[in-house]
Amino acid sequence: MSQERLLTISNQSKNLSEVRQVVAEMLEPSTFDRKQTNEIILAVDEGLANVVEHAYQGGLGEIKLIFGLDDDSFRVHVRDNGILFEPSELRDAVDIHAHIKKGLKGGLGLFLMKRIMDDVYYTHDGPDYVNELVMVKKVPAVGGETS
Amino acid sequence: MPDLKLHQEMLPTGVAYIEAEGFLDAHTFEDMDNLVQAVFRKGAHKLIVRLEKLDYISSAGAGVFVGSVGQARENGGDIVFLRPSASVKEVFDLLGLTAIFRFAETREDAEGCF
Repeated sequence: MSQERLLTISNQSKNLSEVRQVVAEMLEPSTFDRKQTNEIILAVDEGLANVVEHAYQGGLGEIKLIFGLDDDSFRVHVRDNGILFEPSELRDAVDIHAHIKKGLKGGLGLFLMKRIMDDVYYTHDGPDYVNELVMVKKVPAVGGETS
Repeated sequence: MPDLKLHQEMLPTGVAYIEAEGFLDAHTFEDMDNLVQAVFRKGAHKLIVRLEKLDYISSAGAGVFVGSVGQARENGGDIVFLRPSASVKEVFDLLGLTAIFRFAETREDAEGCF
């Protein structure tokens, strides 16, 4: 089993729901269970929402998404041509109490992506993009657990 | 087109009751944030938020409550969640919010949290 989906969208938050739907449809026949599928949809949504909000700094721009699913893994590539994005750190933990104390409403997305996916990283300066967010989740073996 | 529906009313006890239905994500969170802030401006800081019909929440949606609950508590109130859907509860678990927020199964129990 191997399939790939390509999607090009504008950087508007109204497009997030369509992308969530595409991921749901793609993972439906896979061995990811309902909870894992929901978590992967959330991770993709978080990664894409960051790009939508920050990449083009209020202007309109294009985002290219590539989804790949085979027997080993589900891979997500989110490419943009906006400003260079280099996260200072991809946190394994988040201090929710500090968020509450300071009244912070954002900054939880990267943590969720890292928590849910097996691999999350950014690449730069590809032939047709400035930033590429890559997320990978191992496909569970039939009747088994991945982690 | 999936979206967010919000309903808000003031209970006789002075508690603000909010019902959310649909999808609370980076596209819709500002509607929820504006509603919570409007409730605060009216002087109400005790909020019950019913999430039974909320199909989806992302960190942008959860962030509305994370960023607001401190203000509610500083003013003698709190934010209590009523019957979150399974998928919403899973996101709260991932973010560690189930240990920080209070949850209730009935409106009466939720009002009893204040």
